[in-house]
This record gives sequence, structure tokens and C-alpha cells, in this order.
Amino acid sequence: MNDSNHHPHRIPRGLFILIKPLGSLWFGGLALMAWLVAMACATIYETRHGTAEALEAFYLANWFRWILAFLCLTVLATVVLRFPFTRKNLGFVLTHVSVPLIFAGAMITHLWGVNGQIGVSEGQTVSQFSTDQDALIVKGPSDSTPVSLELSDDELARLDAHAGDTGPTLPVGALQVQVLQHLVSSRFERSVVNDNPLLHPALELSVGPGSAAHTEWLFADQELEIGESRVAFRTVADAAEWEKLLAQPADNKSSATDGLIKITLAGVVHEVRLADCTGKAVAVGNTGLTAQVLRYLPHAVVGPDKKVVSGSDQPVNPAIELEVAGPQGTDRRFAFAKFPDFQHAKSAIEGLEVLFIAPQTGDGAAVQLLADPSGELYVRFNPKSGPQVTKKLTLGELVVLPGAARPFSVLRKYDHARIDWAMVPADPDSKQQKPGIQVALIAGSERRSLWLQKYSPRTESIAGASYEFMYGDKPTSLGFDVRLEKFRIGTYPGTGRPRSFESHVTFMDPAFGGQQSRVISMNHPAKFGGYTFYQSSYRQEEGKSISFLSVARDPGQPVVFAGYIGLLAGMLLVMRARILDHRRPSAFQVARRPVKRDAPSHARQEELVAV
Amino acid sequence: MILTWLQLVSACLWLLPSEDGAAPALDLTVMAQLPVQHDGRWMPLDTLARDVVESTTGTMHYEGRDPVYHLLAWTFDPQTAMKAPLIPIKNAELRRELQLSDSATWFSYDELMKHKPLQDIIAGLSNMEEGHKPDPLESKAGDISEKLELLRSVFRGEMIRLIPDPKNAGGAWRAIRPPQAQASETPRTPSAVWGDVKASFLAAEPARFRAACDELAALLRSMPAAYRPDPALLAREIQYNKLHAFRYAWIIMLAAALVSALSLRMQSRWPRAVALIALLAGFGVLTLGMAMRWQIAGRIPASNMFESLLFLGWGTGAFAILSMLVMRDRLAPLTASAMGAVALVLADVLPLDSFVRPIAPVLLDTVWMSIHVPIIMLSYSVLALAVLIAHAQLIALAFSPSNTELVRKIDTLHYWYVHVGSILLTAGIITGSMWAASSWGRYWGWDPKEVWSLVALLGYLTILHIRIPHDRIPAWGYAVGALVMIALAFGIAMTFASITLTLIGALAATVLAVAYFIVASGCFATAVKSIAAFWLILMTYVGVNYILGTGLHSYGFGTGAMARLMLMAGTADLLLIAVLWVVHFWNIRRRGSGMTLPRSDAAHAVA
Repeated sequence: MNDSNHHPHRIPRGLFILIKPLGSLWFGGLALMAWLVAMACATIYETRHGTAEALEAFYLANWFRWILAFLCLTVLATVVLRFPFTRKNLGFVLTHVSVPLIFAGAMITHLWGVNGQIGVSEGQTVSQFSTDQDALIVKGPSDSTPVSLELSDDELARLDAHAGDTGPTLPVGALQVQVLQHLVSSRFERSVVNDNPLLHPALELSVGPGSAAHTEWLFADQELEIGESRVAFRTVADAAEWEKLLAQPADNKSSATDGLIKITLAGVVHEVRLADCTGKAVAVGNTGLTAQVLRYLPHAVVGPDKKVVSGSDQPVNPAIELEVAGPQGTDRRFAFAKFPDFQHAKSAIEGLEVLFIAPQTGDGAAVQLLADPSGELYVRFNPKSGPQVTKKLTLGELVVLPGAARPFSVLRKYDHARIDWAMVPADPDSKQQKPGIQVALIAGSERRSLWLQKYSPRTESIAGASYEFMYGDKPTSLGFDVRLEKFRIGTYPGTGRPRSFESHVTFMDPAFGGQQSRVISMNHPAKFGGYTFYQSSYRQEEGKSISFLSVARDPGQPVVFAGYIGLLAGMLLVMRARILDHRRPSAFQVARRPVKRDAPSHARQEELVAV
Repeated sequence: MILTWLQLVSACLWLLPSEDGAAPALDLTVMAQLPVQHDGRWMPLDTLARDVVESTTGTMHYEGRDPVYHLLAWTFDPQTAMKAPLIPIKNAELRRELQLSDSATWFSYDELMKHKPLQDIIAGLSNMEEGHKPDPLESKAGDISEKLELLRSVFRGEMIRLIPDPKNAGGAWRAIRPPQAQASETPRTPSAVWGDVKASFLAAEPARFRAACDELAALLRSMPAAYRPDPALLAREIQYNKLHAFRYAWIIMLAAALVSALSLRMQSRWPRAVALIALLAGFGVLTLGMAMRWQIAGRIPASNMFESLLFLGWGTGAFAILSMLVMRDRLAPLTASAMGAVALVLADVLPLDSFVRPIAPVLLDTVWMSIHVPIIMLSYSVLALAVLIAHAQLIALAFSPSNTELVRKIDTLHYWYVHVGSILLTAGIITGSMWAASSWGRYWGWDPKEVWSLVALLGYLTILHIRIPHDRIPAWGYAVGALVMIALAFGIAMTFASITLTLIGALAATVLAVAYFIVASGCFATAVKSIAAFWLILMTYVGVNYILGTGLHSYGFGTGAMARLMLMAGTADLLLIAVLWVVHFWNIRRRGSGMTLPRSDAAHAVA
């Protein structure tokens, strides 16, 4: 631990000129201090910005690695300067060689080590674990295994700046999935776009006077409250029906309609009346499917137990729970009249789409917006006195309603409206960041874009097939199966305070056909198939326990531990040498001779080496 | 033998509460020994009472009475206890914030339960979203809420859980329900006997109370139980409670420190012998206390701040005794007893939880805790001794810079302490890393506690490397080094994004400190660096938990008091160093003697 440099004889002169300063205490101290300062600042940065940011900005940053590399260089230089090694400087050499050895082990861990996680619920079997590497995971139609595309941090950072056609592409059969854009922090914002393949007219209304106006979307067969009056929108595609409608007096009762369910399958729309299929299954056209409304909820709300229930009997948020059954399987889903594009989980029946039109109560809407077969807009209402008014409406024209209702105007009309949940950047400093990516789905000539928020899977149909898309962690195959038999939480006696977490697992390796039952608990990992499994955390969900296990394979660990032992042994050897020197009077005397500042440097070195 | 003797002294010194004014005293010993289940383990009722009374009133000597008396009084007569001032809120600012009356510092349960501003904050706490860090006011309100909760279960008679679970060994024990009616059936139920205990306690009739307690104890012993704690262990815990080993240890160590400080100026050998014996006695009492605690808890007492302070005190004692034997070090009794006393005083005086509590699963069922924590605490002890020696060195250099003999001697001693401390610290970090690898699957995770322990180690390694003026290297070497450091400071400033004057000032100070660490050598600089490096240790030890308050190891949060305390102590230390530095140079100039001391001579002697 002192700064003695050795005779330069055995080292080439040119190298010595470089190595000697590098191995000097000046650079050694500098490297130590640079590392110290960087780490101290990193912890302060971490309190302010979070762990992930600190890792990125400091510990895993390139400049940080340069500091460590520099430290290794200086340490190696001091070792080289001591060549040839003697028994005397064994401790010194061992201590200093161990430092780069530890870093080398860490490098091996970094390059070839695997660190992931398994979330497995009781009774479940898994064969994959996820790493913290981001990935796009796509599950194709039928039961094909999911394919994934690894998204490196660098790649995502590149896609941060701009959306473009340069992102990586993942082929899934006939489908090409290309990553377009990445958002570090995202949230969904509702907008209406005119690209629905189905006919689905909608009007954008500007409601309210002057600058206080706001816009709202009114979809066909739905109603909107404007002030005190309700505004309904109907489209009529058939000329004869249009004539009938115009002739019909605006008897409020007539606007009462039964609920209607539009079931789209392979581009064909089948209509089923709500009254017909409530509580009993009816055939859907000649598709071989049957439809049954299990529940009609006039005022659907999500209850405290996360189940959808009806909050009242008023048609505030009409919804149905529908079961469509067929040879392919049974699809059970909610359809909301006011949210026709509500995202539902993946369907057992490919390409199934459901649209629910709520029943209209007798009092009807006071104002009707009508679209005739040619697409012209009309407004129809009953003034306070006099006959019913039906007049043609142009876009932007202000409609002043009778009574105290607020004026509105129609800004535009979409025939193929679709509610689009576009992702927009959110506050990147928020604690609950939800990263997101935008992907393009390309199948032949069909092209669509899709936003994915991290860990939220989405099902989309394209070119007649249904896919599940997820932006999540990269799955890696274990090569064997792990089943969680049971998960137990031990508590301190008489309290609910956890004392231990135990995962009882069975490892099943098809290669050997064997099984092995193991218990994994805190501080007691299990090794199997080259991986080590550690109890990490757990979650209770719907009465089931999900155990999270860390999965690690670390070829660098033995190297690091060897470095640890070398370091400690070396330090103890140095200590021993110092104690021996301290006790030997001769060494004392050598050292106590005053040192002259201007003495030739090698003479001083001699002296120091002697100590 | 020793125990009874110590208890005798303890009774004399601390006037253990037993007198009760005019009324004849009730004998609480039988009651105190009853086994109860509380806080995830079994304990004598004595410990439960201490826990309840200290947790609510903040003192174990509330109204100068035995805590068992209070626990029974609160359980048997809740109506009176609800109106009694049991909860202290001593901070005036906090009382203002809570809109409490400013004249009183003690408040009753009823008063606080009916105080709307406080209850509003408490209600807000339970609705707090996950991950939200409570502000100081909220966390104080949370503390008060916990006290109220505790008292509520005492008043409901749910606290004293005496009835064993007949079937399940880990099951919950039950409290005795109050008697329904004055029934005198045989065999007597626990409720009926409990009723007798209550009546005699409230009537303050010693004979009847004693008889009822005996009957209760016998009845409880006869009840079926799946598990019953070892009576010897319960008796040991009562001994431990009565002994106050850690308080005695610091009193004795403080005395030892004073005597050995005086002995430095004396020629006679007697004071030194006395100091040495006192140190050994203090160390013995501390060891005894820790051994008892180990036995009671069934695990090594190394799981929280309080227990680590005990280890700190123990480590200083152990190392000092060792260094006296090995190095014939005359300063050792002084430094060790002073440092040990400081650690134990802190454990006693700071509001740290001194009860044996359940610990987190990660700390259980592993040998690593018994390896890692003692090594780390031993290294902190040794480095704490080194920092005391460093201060002594500065004082020596300031007031007698010409006494080269003394300076050299202290420098040698300091070097050994830093050297041994660094090896222990390295071993501590390595064992910690191995523990992490065995329980989490990774040997290093850049956790703040890990990082700071490494920061402190790097500080000490720099001290060890740069104690003596190093070889000259070509000028470009210095230029490159300076450039690297400036680039690093600049880069970090850019990373922090918001460049404020504070940040620039802090970075400039850091660069200066770094330059001092690398460039300065010699006895004075080494001592200063050792003090600075010990502040890095303090940052690791308490700062990470209480100032940074983030990461894996932060099981609890302070409320800023610790940060203020550390800042004040740090500033004081800095001022002290500055004053000593000025005196040092003033003395050298005046006497013209300092220059005769080769700056690195002492270092050479041991290098």
C-alpha cells in the first residue's frame, strides 16, 4: 500500500515512461476519488430522480465505466512496476490484482449473466422467465407460441426523438409489425377518427355560446344531453324509410325503440333485438353462432369488487353482457352503448365485433339530427308553439333550440367514425411512468397503427385474423417447466406479520423426464438447470397467490468471489508484512533515517521498498 | 451472582418505583412474570407493560411507577385513564400545526380522539395512495395515531393476552374477558379470577391482590397450551429488564474515560490501572447485556439501529482490549471507553426503539446477518476510534507541534487503526455482497447503502495510499489528472440539469476536498482526511436511512431531525478543525519548531 516503484530494468523503456506515471499514487488516488465522487453524486441523484434514472445516468453510463477502466489501468500498472514479484510483495500484488479480477467478473456478469423474473400463480406451470429487456410480444392466431422482438434501450432512445419508418420489424406469419415510435411516459387520449372500415356515422358538435363552446361527438343511434334537452342522431340509408320518417309526426312515443345488438362477423352485420335474446340464446343469422344477453345493465359501473354492476335503473351508461357461442368457442364480453370502441380482451371467435344500441325510453329526444340517404343533414324539433320543425342544416350553422337550451352547431360529419385512443406524451417526471410504443400493422395492402402501453396487452384483428400484442419484458425460455404447487406465508405467532415466504415448486425437465420438488424461501434459493431461483415477492389476487421468483444465471459470480477472497487475503498479507516490519528494529532504523528531498528518486524507492 | 449484585446496585441508584404514597404497595411481581403473547413473540407481562408505557408516554418511569402498575390501571379502569394526560406532544411547533392548546404538553386519550384537526390528518393517512411519502407533520400525526391505537386496545382489555392457544403452536393467544356476572362457581374460570384481580387492584388491597394473582397464575398454568414459553427464558427477560445493562455500561465507561484522561497527565500508575479495570468492567456489563438480549430474541442482536449501536460500543471495547495487549497502546483505554460511552449514550438517549421486535424475513434464517453485521460494526468501531485519535492528533499538533515524539506515536497508532478498520470494512462489504448474492441473486445492485459503504472505503483507501509524499511524475500527468477531475465535475453538473449556485458550490467544495485528499500528505493532513472519511461512514451508517431515505436498506424514515443533527455536528467538527489548523500554524511560526519535524517521518516509521 505504499508507492514504491521497482527497477525499470525488466520493462522496456518506452513502456516504462507511460506506466510509471500511470502506476503512480497520483493517478491511483485520482481514480479512487473520481469513483468516490461519482457514486456519492449518484445517490443524491437517485433520491431526486429515482433508481432507474440514476442507473442510466451514472452507474451504467459509459463515462462511469471509463472511471473503473482507468482505475483498473492504474492498478495493473502498479502491479507491472513491481515485476518480478517476490515473496515480500506478494500481499501487495494479490490485493491489487484482485481489483481488476472483481471488475472482470462483473464484466462477465454484465455480458453473459441472466437476470429475470417469473410470476407464477398456485397450480400454474411456466416455462419462460422475463428479463428487464423491453420487447414487443405478438401472439398469432390460434395457439401458436408468441414471438418477440427485443427492443434495446438504444433503439428505443432513437425512436424517442421522432416517429419514422426506421424502426425494427417483427414478422408474424403474413403480418409485419413495425415499431414506429416510443414514448418514455404516456397516457391515452380519446379522439375520433374517420377510418372505421364499418359504416359508423358520427357528428362533431360545438356546444355553447361563443368562446365558451366545447366540442362533443354524437354517434349514430345515440343521444347527447345539451343543456336540458336531449339530442339524438339518426341516419337513414333507405329512401323509402326516409319518406316515411318525414311524413311521420314527431310523436315522442314513436322515438321509443328497442335495444339492438349488431354483431359483425367477417364483415357481415347481423342484427339481434335486445328483447329477443335477453336470457335466451338465439341464432345469429346463418353463421352457426348463437347470441345471448346474460345481463342488461342500464347504468353500468365498476363495483368495489371490480365487477361490473348496474348503479341504477336510469339509462346512464347502458351496457349488456353478451355471450356469443359457436363451434370455435364461447365469447363473453361487455358491450357499452356509449363506448362502442371499448377495448375488450382477446376473443375466442375470430373477427367478432359487437355494437350495442341502447333502448330508447318513451319520452324520446327533444331534438333529432337526421341524415338522409344522400348524407344531407336535417334538424327536427318541436318549438314551444306551432308544428314540428324539420329543416336542412349546413355544417357550422348555429342551431338555437327552443327554451333555455344552449345553442350548438355541427362542425363535421364522419361516416366511418372510430374512437381512437391515441397515446400522447405524459409528464416524464411522474412517479408512475407508463412507457408506450406505437406500432404499424402491415398485412398486404392493409396498414393500421396501434398504440401499446407497457404491460397492457391488446387484441386486434387484421386481414381476418386476430392477434394479441403486448409491449412488455422480453421472455426467455428456461428449457424446462416450473410449477408452483403452493405458496405459504409464515407469520410471527399471534400476528399477521410475515415471518417467511415459501414457494413450493416442482421443476420438470422434459429432457430427463424427471421431476424435482423444492422449497424456495427468502435466503434459501434453489438451483435447477443452471439457473438459481430466489424468492423475490408475492401478490394476492382474487384469493390466489402469485409468487415472484428471481431467476439468475451468473457465470461472473465465481470470478468476483475469487477476487473478493484474493483482495481480503492480500490485504491481510500486507497487514502481516507491516506488523513484521514494525517489530523488526532494523527496518525501523532504516526508515528513521531522515529522507532528503533531493535524494535521487531510486534511492528513496529503495528505502521505501525496504520498509 | 453478578446479576443479583448489579440488581442491588440498580435498585439503589435508580430508586426503582415501589412506594405508593399513603396506600400500601401492591405486589406486582407475580403479575409481571406471567407469560403473554405480544408483538409476535412470548414475553413476561413486565416487558409488555414496559413496551406499552414507553410507547405511549415516551418514558418507562411515567409518574415514577412500575409500568406493570400503569398497564393494569389502564386496563381495569379505562374511564379514568382516558382522561389522564398520557401522551406527550413536546414540540411547540407541532402543537401549533395541530391546533392544540399551547400551554399543555401532555394530552389525554379523550382529548386527542376528539380533536378534529388531528383526526382529519389521521383519516387522510389511511387514504394515502401507495408510494406517497408522508410529510413530517403527517408522519408525526401517524406516530400519535399509533399511540392512540395502542391505548385503544389497552382500554378494550385486548392487550394482555394471557390465555394460550390450545391447539395451534403459532396461534394467537387470547385476552381474558371481563366476568359477566359475579359468579362463584367451581372450577373458577379465568374471567372470574381476573375479576378478583381487578377488584382487589382497584380497591388497593395488597393481600387479596396477591392471592388473586397467585390463583390466576396457577389457573393459567393449568390451561391447555400447544406452546408455552420456557419459564427460565421469561425469568431471564425480567432480569434483563431490571438490569439496565447498557445504561450501566456507559456510566462505567464514561467514568473510565474521565479517569484515563486524567491519568495521561499523572505519573502514578494507579489511575491508569483504575481506568483499565473500569473499562473492562463496562465492557463486561455490556457483553452480559448483549448476551442476554441475544438469548431472549433467539437471534444475534444486530437487526436495527439500537442493536447496531450496542455492537459499536462493544466493538470499540473489544478492539481496545486487543490493541492494548498487542500494541501496548496507552491511548487505548481512553479512546475506547470514550467512544464506547458515546455509542451507548446515543443508544440510550436517542429515541430509538430498544425493544426486541420481529424482524423482516430477509434478515431471518441466515448466517450472513451474524457474519456481516458484526464485522461492519466492528469496522465502524475501529474507525470511530481512529477518528478520536485523529482529533487527538490535531490537538497535539496544534498545541505542541514540537513534541515530535508524541505526534509520531499518535500517527503510528492512527495508521494501525485506519489500516485494520479498512480491512474490516472491506470484509464487511464483501460479506454483505455475498449475503445479497445468496438472498437476491446478485452480488451488487448499486443500492445507496452499498454505494455509500464503498464510498467510505474508497475514502480510507485514499488515506492509506497517500500518507507520504509520492514520487514526482511528469507534469503532463498532473495536467491530465486535473483535467479529468474538472471534466467529471462538469459532467455531473450537466447531469443534474438544474445548475444552481448550491450545486456549483457543492461541486467546487468537492473538487477541493478531492484535491486535498490526493495532494496533501503528512500527519496533519492524514488526521483531517481521517475525520472527513469518518463522516462518509456516518453518512453510510445513518445518512442513507435518514437523509437519503431511499433504497432497499431504508426500513424506516426519519423526519429531518437526524439531518439537522448531522449538519450541526458536521459544521462544529469543521470549525474545530479550522481553529486547530490556525493554532497549529500560529504555534509553528511562533516557535519555529514545526519545520524540524519531517512531514512524513512518522509515516515512514510504520509504512
